[in-house]
Parts: sequence; C-alpha cells; structure tokens
Amino acid sequence: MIPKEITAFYNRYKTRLYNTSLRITGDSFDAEEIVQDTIIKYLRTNTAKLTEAQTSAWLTKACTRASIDMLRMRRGLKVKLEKYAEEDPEEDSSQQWDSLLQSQSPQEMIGRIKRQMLLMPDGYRAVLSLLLFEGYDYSEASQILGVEESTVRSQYLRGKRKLVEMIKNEK
Amino acid sequence: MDNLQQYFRQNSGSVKESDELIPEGDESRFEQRWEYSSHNRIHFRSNLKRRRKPLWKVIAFPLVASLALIFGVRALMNPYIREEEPRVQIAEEKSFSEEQDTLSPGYIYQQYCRTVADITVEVAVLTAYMPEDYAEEAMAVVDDIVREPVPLIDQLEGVDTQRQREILQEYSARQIAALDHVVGTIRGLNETE
Repeated sequence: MIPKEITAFYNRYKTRLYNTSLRITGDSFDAEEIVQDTIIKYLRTNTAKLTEAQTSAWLTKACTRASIDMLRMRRGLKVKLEKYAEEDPEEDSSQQWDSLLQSQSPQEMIGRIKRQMLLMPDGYRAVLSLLLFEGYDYSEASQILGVEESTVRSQYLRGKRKLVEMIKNEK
Repeated sequence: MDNLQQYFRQNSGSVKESDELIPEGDESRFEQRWEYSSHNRIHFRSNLKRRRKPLWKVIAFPLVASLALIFGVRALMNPYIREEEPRVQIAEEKSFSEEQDTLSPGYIYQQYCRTVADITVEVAVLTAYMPEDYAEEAMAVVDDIVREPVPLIDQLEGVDTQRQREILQEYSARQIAALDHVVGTIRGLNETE
C-alpha cells in the first residue's frame, strides 16, 4: 500500500476501534496507542487480502485483546476479577434496568451509560464493554479475559447493578 | 441474554452514533509511527543484505588468517630455532670435511697453509719473552721460508692431478721441515736461557 492508502485505511477504522479500546481501558491515550498499534500490526502481518467483514472482525478482536492486555499490564485486571468472583453472587438488577431503559431515548441512554462506564472500576468496565458494546457472549468474554465463565457472569451482574446506581445518582 | 444485552443489540445504531471522536493530530502521529516502523524494517532488511559478503572477502579472510597463523607460530618459535642453527652448521661442516677428498691438491695445499699458520703462531709465542731483536730475526727467518721462491711450484700448471699432488706434497713437506727446524732452534735457545 502507498502512504495515502495506508492513511485512508487508518481513517476508515480508527473511530470504531478507538471507542472499543476507550470503553475497555478508560484512557484516551492508551486507546489511541492501541488503535495505531493494531492497524500497524494488521498492515504488517496480513499480506493476504481479506474481505471487508473479515478485516473488521480481525481488527476488532485484535484491538479488544490489546486493550485487555493493556489493562492487565497496568492495573492487574485478573487479580481484581478473581477477587470479586470469590464473593457471593447478588440478585439481578433487571427490573431496575427495565424501567430505566424505557425512561429515555436509546441514543441518550447509551450516551449516559458510556459516560458512567468510564468512571467505573476496570474489572466492571472491561466485562460490560465486552458483553454489551462488543456483543460477545459469556464464554467468548471469559476466553478473552482469561478467567472462568462464572467469574464473568458474577462480574457482569455486579457491574450492571453498580451502573444503574451510578445513573440514578447522576440524576 | 438479559434485557440490557438485548437493548444494546437492538440499538446498535445508537451505539455507533454516540461514538466519541479520536483526539486531533492522531493521523500525523499514526503516519510518523508507520514511517518509523517502516524505517526500522528497511534498515533491518538492508542489514540482511550486508551480511552477504563478497567472494573475495570469503577467500581472503581464511588466507590471511592461515598466513598470520604460520608466521605467528614461526615468530614464536624463533628463539628455539636459533638455538638449533649452530648445531646444524657444525653438522654440515663435519659432513663436508668427511666428504672432502684428502688426496686432492687443493686439500693438500690447504693443510699446508694451516700448518704454516700454526707454526707462525708458535714462533710468535716462543719469541714473546725473547729480546726484540731475536724475535724480529726469528719472524724474518719464518717469513723468508714461507715466501721462498720454489721452482717446484711453477711446475703445477699443465700437469695432471696426480703430479700436482706429488709436487704439493714435496713442496709442503720441505717448507714445513724448514719451519720445524726454525722452531726447534728457538726452543733450544729458550731451554738454554
């Protein structure tokens, strides 16, 4: 690829990858670095031509893993997740979420959730980001995070409960 | 899948719309990083090319190394080699003298010259403690005998080897006998004193 094509390729994917990484790491500098690393890695390693969907999937997965690695490296994510898993599971906050989700338009509600997620602890933010925004199921998220599926479930339930409290308190 | 996950699946469009923009200047930073990584890559490749040495270097290095090794070892062994050199020379001299023909005219003449030299030295030693006039006279007598013109020696040219040998033997015997007589006289003088 010539330099112009490379820049165009970067511009095509940067926003989505940046938001993916930002939701997991919670740090704009880390997110930007991860996005650029991911795209450079793709351009260096993927010599065979992939389809648009394959390229997008490759980049998203690589970006997600790099973001989790960054968290692990800087904040000891695994230790935190294991610590939370030892605690007793708590009741689901689904009813609270039902009423909350119906109270506002989807765009407004999702914007609020994103803002509050940036204020949450790393463990909650990583799990919620993978399950809600990236659309992974529990088993995929557990593989990416390198923890038990039950840990992901309990962490998700706790994250949901904390998030609904934070949104209510924001009001 | 719970209600929250379903909500996000249904409103994926809203998720995209609420995306935040990457901070400004990211494009130039990315281009710099790309160039930097590309530069490293090219540099690495050029290093790989440099590793391929030209043929003359491949040949020259072992050649120079082996020559250096040979001369280095020789230089280190030099002291030991020098010690052995005189032995070799002596051995060569011995073998030469052994191989030399003792009946040849050249050898007879050489022996004669050596004997004359020995007698001259002996005369000098014997006259060393004598009065100066005696010593000079004795050396003059020796000199006269050695330099005496002898008709026999002129006959050497134009004769065969056997004849040359006979002439030289006769000549040297006569001269040495004369010199021995002088030496005997000087010894007699020394004893009487």
